Amino acid sequence: MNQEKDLLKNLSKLEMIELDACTRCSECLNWCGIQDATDDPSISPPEKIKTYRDFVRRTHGLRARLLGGKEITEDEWKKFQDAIYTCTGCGACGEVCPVGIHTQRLWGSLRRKMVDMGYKPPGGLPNLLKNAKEYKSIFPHSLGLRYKIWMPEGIKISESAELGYFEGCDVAWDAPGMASGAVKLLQAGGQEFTMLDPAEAWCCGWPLTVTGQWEIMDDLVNHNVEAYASRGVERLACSCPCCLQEFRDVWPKVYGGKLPFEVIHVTEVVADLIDEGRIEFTKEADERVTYHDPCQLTRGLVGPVVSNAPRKLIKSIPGIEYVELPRKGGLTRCCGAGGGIRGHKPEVAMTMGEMFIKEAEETGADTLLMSCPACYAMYVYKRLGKLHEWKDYQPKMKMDDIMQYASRFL
Amino acid sequence: MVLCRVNLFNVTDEDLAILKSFYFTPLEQLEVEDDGRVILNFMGGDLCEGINDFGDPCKGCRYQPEIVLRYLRKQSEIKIGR
Repeated sequence: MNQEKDLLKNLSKLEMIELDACTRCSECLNWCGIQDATDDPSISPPEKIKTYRDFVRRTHGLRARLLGGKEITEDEWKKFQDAIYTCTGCGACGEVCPVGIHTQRLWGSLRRKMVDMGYKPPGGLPNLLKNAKEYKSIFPHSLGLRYKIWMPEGIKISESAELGYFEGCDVAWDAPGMASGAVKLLQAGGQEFTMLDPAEAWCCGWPLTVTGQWEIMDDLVNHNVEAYASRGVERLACSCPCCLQEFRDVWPKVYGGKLPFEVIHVTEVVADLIDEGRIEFTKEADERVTYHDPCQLTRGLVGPVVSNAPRKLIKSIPGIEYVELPRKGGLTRCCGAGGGIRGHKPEVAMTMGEMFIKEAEETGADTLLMSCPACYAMYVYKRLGKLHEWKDYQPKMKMDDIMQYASRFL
Repeated sequence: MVLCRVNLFNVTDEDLAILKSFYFTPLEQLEVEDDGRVILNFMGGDLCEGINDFGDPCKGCRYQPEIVLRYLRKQSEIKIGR
């Protein structure tokens, strides 16, 4: 490996300040799902920051400048890489950080740093980039197939419209019910919308940037922005919280300025349609439900968080008894499915999942509603990396996507 | 959570390619029989008898993608297992 590593290159000034700002108060440890599952402080947020700070000091500090830097060993890099990838990127640590370190962004930058230095992401994560280069999606399948997986019959898609809808490749292959439900609700509300041709709607890039692999981001972002703009899109609604965060945070940076359209979550569009009286549910649910705020809709999001619209949507379904989870909004508990952890440490993902479901079951709800393809894949389809079943625990409650669920009561 | 082993009949080659792309983990492989039937092996646990845990019948099963539902809705008889 190249030992001529500039550990500060490509880090923003804010990120350098953030690395220096951690006081090791350890409040983040009280909210970190990885800590709950592993009880291993060596991979905790303060420890990751301390380790990187130490690396910087050894290579850029006064002693290093006067007498030459002290080499960071391969073993130290490997340990740091394990710590930096044993994380779902949920951002709970940043939400509670008293000094306001934006950890979701910082962990991504440090992963990018590792990749730039030649350390490939662990496990199967390099396949995400390989697939994206070949198929323009993280899945090794032709993009052109994907609407056929989930598109219900009779849905009208306009050639161009003020509203664009992007389901995302992860939704198509990991959680198709999310997209089916979304377009059924949009159509029920008489909302005109456009979509790109399936082969034209490339990956948003989230799975790549969250794993530090930025190599083809310019291509992905510029292609998608120009494609939506050419269809007259002024508002782009997406189903996947990670796409939303990527559109709002990363795309403007890669695109080089403000996007030519606003980016919103599809639950916000549907909640507006309900407010306007354009969607009415005709069937009764008659059950107790609760809702899990996806991490990327409520934490670290550039622009307003999305937490009221999903609740409005659920509560508008007749017969629903709605209960909140103990942890909600910015303090929502990570389900353990995101950030590449299912590929890197599936056993940690499953332990986090068990804690998440047990907490949800304590509400006495019959059904847990979600709004994220990673949650959906893990809990509905049980796509758990190398493992397939929880060893000692089987969830008792039903789990569903909010849009798929709501569309059944039209 | 239940194991779906529903049979699909008269699946076109193009749809089979789409189905194969959807059932992509080692435990979700499709079985294509000599008589043309496609048998799903989807999710896990006890064999689903035709009503899922939400009470949905196969033709409206929310766990299935639309492409599977299209075939199930066309079939007058739902066959599960072999």
